[in-house]
Amino acid sequence: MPSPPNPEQWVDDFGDSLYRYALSRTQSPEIAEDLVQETLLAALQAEKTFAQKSSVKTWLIGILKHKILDHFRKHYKEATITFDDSLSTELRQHYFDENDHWQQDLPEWLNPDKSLENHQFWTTFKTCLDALPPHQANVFLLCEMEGLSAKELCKVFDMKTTNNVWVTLSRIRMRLRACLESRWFEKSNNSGE
Amino acid sequence: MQTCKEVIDLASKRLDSKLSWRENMGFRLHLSICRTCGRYTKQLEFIRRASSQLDEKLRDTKLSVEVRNRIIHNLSKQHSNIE
Repeated sequence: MPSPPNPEQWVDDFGDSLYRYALSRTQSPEIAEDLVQETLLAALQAEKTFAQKSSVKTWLIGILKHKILDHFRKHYKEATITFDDSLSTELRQHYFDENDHWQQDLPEWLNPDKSLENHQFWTTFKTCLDALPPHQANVFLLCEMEGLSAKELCKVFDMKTTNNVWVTLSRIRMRLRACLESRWFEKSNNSGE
Repeated sequence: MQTCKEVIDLASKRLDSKLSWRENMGFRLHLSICRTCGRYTKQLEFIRRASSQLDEKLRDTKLSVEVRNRIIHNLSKQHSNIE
């Protein structure tokens, strides 16, 4: 560390990146603020142990990753949320016939990757993420953004089996898919894009 | 033969884990004859690609001045307590 850090300097240098990282994974401005503060405090206390093998930012993100997982671990240990297959009745009625085959064909999404360049698509994508029940959004974001395995997700969210995790992720993706279809792809297909 | 309802779970699971030989064979066989499950699978793959870009799409998120000042205030207080 070139010079002893002062809190203000660290917040100005790394606050935005840390906040963005925490907010995208927790979806809560309050929790993200707390996690950034805890991370910087831990870093200030442990500053002497920083080995300079990595950049300060990488080091801080590493601390923040631990804080995020700790936060969820604590939260879901106390919460009484059961991750179950309860969507399956809804699912069956919406999509499947009595033989578990599709009731109707799904529309094709035209040039979906073109949407990735569209600013409005990202607003829709975030709207669909926000529309998920919070615990589902948490599982999905830690899976996709942190790359946690089913085994790791099991521990963090206090779920029983990896199969439980896979079924939960399948239901989450099903919801997201339906949301993107009705809020984005049906509209952009209609407008002839 | 797997049902469509079973296949959509496999379409999701294969994004997170390697399917067993048996699952994989069943999945591929089903997809070769079911267009709707093929579409569903492609759409989940698209959601995976989109999710991998979430970090870069959030670059404009910043701490508000209020939050910045609050964090600095709390840090300075707690940090000087420790020293």
